[in-house]
Formats: sequence, structure tokens, C-alpha cells
Amino acid sequence: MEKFIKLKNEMIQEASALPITDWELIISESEDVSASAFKGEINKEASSLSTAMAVRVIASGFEGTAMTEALDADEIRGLVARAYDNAITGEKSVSAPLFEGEADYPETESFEEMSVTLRDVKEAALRKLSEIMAADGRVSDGSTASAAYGRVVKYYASSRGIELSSHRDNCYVMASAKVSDDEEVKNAYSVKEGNLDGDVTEAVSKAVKSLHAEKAVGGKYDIVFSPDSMQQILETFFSVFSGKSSAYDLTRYKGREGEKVASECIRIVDDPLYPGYRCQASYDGDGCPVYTKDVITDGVLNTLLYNMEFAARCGKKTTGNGYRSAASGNGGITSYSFYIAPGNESREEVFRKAEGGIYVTEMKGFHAGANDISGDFSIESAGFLIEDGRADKPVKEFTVSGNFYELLENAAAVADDLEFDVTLAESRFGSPSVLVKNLSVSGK
Amino acid sequence: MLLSIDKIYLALDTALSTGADFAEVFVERSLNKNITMVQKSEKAETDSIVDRTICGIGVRAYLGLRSACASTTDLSSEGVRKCALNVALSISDGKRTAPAFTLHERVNTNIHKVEIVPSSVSNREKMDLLREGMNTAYSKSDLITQVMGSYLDVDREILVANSEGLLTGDRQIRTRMIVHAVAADKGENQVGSCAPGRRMGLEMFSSITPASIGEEAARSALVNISAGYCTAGVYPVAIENGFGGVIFHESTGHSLEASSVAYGNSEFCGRIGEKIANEKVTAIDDGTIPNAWGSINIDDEGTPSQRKVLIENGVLKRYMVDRFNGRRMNMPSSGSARRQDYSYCPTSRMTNTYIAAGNDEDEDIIASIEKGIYAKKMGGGSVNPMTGAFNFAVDEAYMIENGKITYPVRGCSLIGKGSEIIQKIDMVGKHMLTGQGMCGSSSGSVPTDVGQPLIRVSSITVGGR
Repeated sequence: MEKFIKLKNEMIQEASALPITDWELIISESEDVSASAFKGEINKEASSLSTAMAVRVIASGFEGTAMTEALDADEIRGLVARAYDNAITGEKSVSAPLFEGEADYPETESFEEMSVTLRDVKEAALRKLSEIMAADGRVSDGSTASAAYGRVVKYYASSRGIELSSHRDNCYVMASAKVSDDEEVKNAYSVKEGNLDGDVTEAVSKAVKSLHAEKAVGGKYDIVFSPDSMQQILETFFSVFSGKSSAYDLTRYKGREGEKVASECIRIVDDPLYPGYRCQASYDGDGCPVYTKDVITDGVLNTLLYNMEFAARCGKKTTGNGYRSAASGNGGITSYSFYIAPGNESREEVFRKAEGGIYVTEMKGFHAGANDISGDFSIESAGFLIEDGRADKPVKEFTVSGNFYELLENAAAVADDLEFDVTLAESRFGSPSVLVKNLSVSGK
Repeated sequence: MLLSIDKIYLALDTALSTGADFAEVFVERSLNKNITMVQKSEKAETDSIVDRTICGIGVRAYLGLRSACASTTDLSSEGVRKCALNVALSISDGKRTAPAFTLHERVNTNIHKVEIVPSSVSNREKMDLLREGMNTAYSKSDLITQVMGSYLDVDREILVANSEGLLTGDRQIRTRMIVHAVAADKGENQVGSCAPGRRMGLEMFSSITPASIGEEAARSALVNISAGYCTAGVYPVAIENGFGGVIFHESTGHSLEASSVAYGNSEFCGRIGEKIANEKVTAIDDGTIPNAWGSINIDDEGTPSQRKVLIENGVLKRYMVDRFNGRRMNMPSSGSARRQDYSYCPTSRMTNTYIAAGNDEDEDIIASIEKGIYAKKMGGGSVNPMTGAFNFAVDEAYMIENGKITYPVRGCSLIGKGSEIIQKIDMVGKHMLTGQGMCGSSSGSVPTDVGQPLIRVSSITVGGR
């Protein structure tokens, strides 16, 4: 904290020489270690230490932002000058004042710091590699395992008297299993967060199960999206829930709070305090307190997500979803543990409602094959045919096409197998398996 | 100099102190400007103006086939020493074995002339350029309801020094404008984009005018809003020049990078000299094209960039190799090591990668297709180099019927297996053109050009509805 306060005081001194009315400062300090193992040895290992500082200044009703990783006195002078120069261009008007006043910040769960060293992650990577190599005779030499640990300290201060700090740490282990028999090579991965002992041998069973996949036959299918697939879909189309998209007319959900926009089985939650998660948040990028909220309940839209700026522009209140990155200087709207709430049925029960359909377990290329403005997507996929309530027969090389809005409207069942993606950050996406009827599949 | 000479020696000597056989220090200071605007009425409003200073060092050491790297933003002597010591302690626990060395500075030939350095131009002028592009798109049609635009410039200074005595550097200036036009009709939105960039300063906009960027984005959005959904199936596809080259980048390029090949994780491992593609295909990775978006004078290990013929008339000739993975492959670096910034470990990456011009006439390619797809503008894509499975999106597509381009279709994606698709490129046109992209991989996001003339792929799985 002391060094952050020192940087703040240096920044204030530079700012006081200019006609700046308000300022906001964000600092993050992160330490990371990671290692990967290949052919029984550590082949790559890395550690990093970085500090970044972003300052947003307001002058004559306009704002400007600059960030830096160089933290000497000259650089801080230049930083404030660049932010001020961006403000006085007189282009970015301030829509909302900086947050101020008494606020009730929620308490995050306290976790004991992990104090993981580079040696620990190297050992974990080697251990995980030997576990997957031993899991099946078909696992071959191109397999890799890795482990990483990250620790972040964040600091927020503003000219409105707000001063906040938080810290978090987390780790993960990951395996990428390459399996081959005489005819074919397949790979799959598995990743677990929270400790270095997670079981990642699922990478092997996933890869083995996908061997000798047939090319799917094109047509209309009932699709059960695996948790991993649905998380990616939710992340890709996250912007439809953002107040910024609403302000710019880029989401069909604009002004539809209180209306039914999805199937009754869909509930979507944004939870900065998801129980047991090591990367909880108590304040957002605007310095506002955060809280847990339903975005959609029983198919009805409750709220979109707002920061201070877009709440003011849309005539709403902030939902504590402000984002500002010290590392990029960028601001916007974020989410926390953002997930489709699990239903009551098991995955197998959901399969029984999708006889003749496909359980889609792998989807790739969302950055290209999905359009978050139209909601359309057409994605390279792989998975398993659902027969007799089981998903055992692998299929590959097909695309699943649809539209995100229609996907939520047409969801027919939600399983109880909620999983989150692994990000080591406050923001992550989660979903159980979700059945959607009658989607287009292209294949042979 | 970006880092004082005593700190450079401190980093290298510390990294070698426990027994590494090679050490390298990479120093970077980049100034980035990013302006984003949104236009929903006569005047575009500014969404953000952000300046970024990326500044730090990355230290790396090798011991045989192992490498360790560390990075820090703390450039004090103690910060540099600590960073290098992290590398030394993780690579080995013995004594120094590497011989003493002296650094000799090498100045590289700059093949990329920059006439207007971005930092010498005011925010106001940059915003006026962006507004001009956005306004052109916005005023193109009443159906264009919204335009999003970005202006970006990067002034990246790097220094590379290593224990073989190399000390060199480069200054890489890039400028880019991105315009997305949104066309709306009957409650639906469709997007058209244009995003040119060059390794040059603001003189870029005298040859590629902002108006032409806005015009192209609006044109594409208007085509898409009038298009019906593409019908899924297996078709012959004609892929247009320019960003169409992403098909080679994804389907084959990534699988020719040492990052996959060195570990046996590419379908093209050990196949140099073999015919892997149709004889019509000659593919080149060339980082030396003056002022091209993906060009570099030197790579991020200090090796001069090269022009590499990867595939010649269908025969695999070379891989793209970085220094570290080259050890495993017994191959020298091809000047292909790249990293987003100092905090990433570099690995082999593409620069400007394209299929060279062939002998087929564009008209003959279209005329040869009885029923298929004309992919005029490609989106991005991705690949799994281990299996070769790739996908990419088509941003603007048309049906071809009886040898003629008929009507636009949307929502297409193309999927397949790299080694199969390059066999099926059976017609190659005469007019090579490149397009710009940011390529994401293990060493971060780096600027790359993709390119090709109009090509025909005899059959490919097309996703749609």
C-alpha cells in the first residue's frame, strides 16, 4: 500500500500544476509464475512481475486517460500530461461524475494466501504430465501439462476521497493429452483451478472418446451444449447484456427489462461474491460497491449491466459492473461469475430429451464465427451422437449455426452440471449443459 | 539506449550465473495511442482516448533444450538483477559455464521508411481522419444506422542483447484505422468492416484514404443486410484475394511454425521435400516487404527478417523457426521469433504470409463452378495444428450458380483439415493482394498480413442454416 500511496502523491503533485478538476487512479501489481512439461521434462518456465498505473483526468468537463508501466518521476509527469492532453482535445465529455460518498462495500471471503513458488508449479506440471501419461497406453509424447500461479494487488483512489485496495491469488493445473492409435491422432485438454492437485486426467478420457469420430451428416438436430461450449457462447455474446450496447442500440434487450426474453428454464446470474471462489470482488472499476444480481429470472430480463458512465447515459443506476484496467487504461463494463444457473435434471436426463441429437463438447473459432451485433454464429464443432440416452459415438467436422437470442428463447432443458471456465480473474463465465432444439448442422 | 549497458551486462551475466549456455535480454518501450468513436447521428462522438506506455524487460536463458524466462517492469539495477536471477535459479543450480563475452552493437538496415511519426501529430488531426472515414460510411445509406471506428498507432522501440555478443535494436511504427458499419433493417443488424494497417506513420492515409475505408465498410454492411442465410453443405468455394489469405494462414501457416513442428505436434512434421499441397500452390512468408503491416527489420530475438518460400509448387520447403525451437529441430532461426511485448516468451510466428500469384484468370475460376460459394471477404479463424482441424468465418459471401455470382448469403463458415484443403486449392488467380490482421498465439497478439490471389478450393464444408 505504501508505495501505491507514494505514487498517488506524486501523481497529485503533477496534477496540481494543471487545471485538472478531478482524477481517478488505478494501480495493479501482479506476480505470476508458470511452467509447462513435455516428454518428462520442464520445457518452459516463466515468472513475471509487473506494475501498471492508469490515470483518468477530468478538465473542463472532458476526460482523458493514459497508462504506463514505467513508474519513475519523469514518466508520471508525462503520464498526467498525456491524460490531460487527451482531455483538453475536448472530445470525450464526462457523462457521470466520479463516484463519491459513503458506500457499503460487501466483504469478500478471506482466503489464506497460497504462496506458490516457481518450483511448486514446475513440480505440479511434471506430476500432472506423468498422471496423464499413465492414464492410458494411447497417450503419446506430444502431450503437455502446465501449471501457473498468479497474485494481483489492486489499488483505486480518486479526487473524491475514495481509496480502496484488494488482493487475490489463485492457481491452476492443465493438461493437453495427445492420444493416438494406428490410424488417428486426437487431443483434448482439461484444466482445474484453486489448487495444484486438481485431477486433469479427464483430458485423456476426452481425447480417447473422440478417437475414430465420423463426420457428422448435415441437417437439423437437437443440440445439448456441454458446459464448456455454453460458457464460450455466453462469453462471446456477453455484450448483449451490457449497458454500453444498450446506449448504442446494439442489443435487442434494450428497454426490455421486465419482459420475457428467454425460455422459462433460463436464469442468468452475475455474482461478484460466488461462494468459495478465490477471485471475488467488493468494488468495481468506478470504485462502486458490487452486488449479486439476477440478469434473467425464469426467462424474464431483470436488468442489463451498467457502470457509472452508461448508467447515466441510459437513465439507470450503476449495477457495480464498471471495468477499468490499469494494464490497458481501457474502461467499460464487466461481469463477475456470470453464469446460467443449473437446473434439477442430470445430464443423462437431459440426453433422454434429445434422442438422435448431438452432445456438442468442442466449439472453436468464436472470435471469427460469431457476430455479437446480429447474434448469429456458425461454429466448428465436435461431439457425440445421442442414442438411447447416451452420448458415446464421436462425431467431428461439422458446424453448429444459430442465433444467440433465439438460443435462449428456445432452450428446452438445463442440466445440474454447472462448470466455470478458468481465468484466475474476477470475471469468468459458467454454464451447465443446455438443450436447444432444432439447430442447423452442416457436415458431410 | 533503452537500458544502460551496465544493466544489460548485469542481466546477461546474472542469467548465466548458474550454468545456462545462452542468455538474452529483450527491452521494450512502446507508446500506443487508441481513439475509439461511435457515430449515431451527424457527428461521431468519442468513446475513448487512451495513451499506453508499455515498458519492461524480458530475460531468457537456455540450457540445452530447456528455456526459462522472466519479465519485469522494474528497471532499477535491483529489479533487473532480480528478474535475471529468477531465470538463473529456475534453469539450473550449478556454476557458470558460459564463456565471457563482449557485446558488439549491430545497426540494421531500415527497410520501412516512416514520413510522419504518429507522436508528432495532434489528437485533433487523428480524430479528423477517423471522423472522415466514419462519416463516409454513415452517409452512404439511410440503412446505415451506426458506425464504430478506431484509430490506432504504435511506436515500438526494442533492444535485444545476448550472450553471443549481439546488441541490436529496432523501432517499429504502425498505424491502423478500423471502421465497422452497422446496417439495420426490420429489426436486424448486420456489420461490414474495413481495417487496413501499415508499418508506417500517418502518410498511410494519403494512399489509403479514410473515405475509402468508410466506403468499403458501408458497402459490405449493405450487402449483408440484404443477404439471406447460407445453406449448409459441401461446395466448391472461390475465395477472393486480400484477407482471403487467412485460409492459408489458419489451415497451413500455423502448422508450419516451429512452436508446433518442434514438438511433433503438426501434421507437417518431418515432411520437408514432400508434396503436401496442390502443385498450383506456392506459399511465402516474407517479413521484408517495405511498410507491410506484418514486416519487421529484425525479429524479437534480433535475427534479421527473411523472405521464406514455405511451399513451392506444392512441395514443402521450409518451416518458420525461432532460435530456441530451432535447437530441437537442428535448424537455424529464420527470423520468425515474435512476442506481443516483453512479458511474453517469444516463439515462431508468421509475418506477411501469402499464396503467390498463379496463372488462372479470375473469370475462369468463377465460371468453373456450377454451384458453390464466392467468399469475397473472410473473417478470422483458428486451427488445432495437432489435428489440422481449422475453421473460419466468411464476412461477405455470394452464391455461384452455373458459373455466375448470383445473390449474397450470410452466416457462412468454412471448416476442414489443413492438409486436405491445401491439396484442394486447384485454381490460383493472378492478382495477389494482402489484408491485415492481429494473429493470436502463445506469444500473444502480433500484427500479420495474410494474402493470396483469387483461388478455388474444389470442395469444402460450408456451415450455414
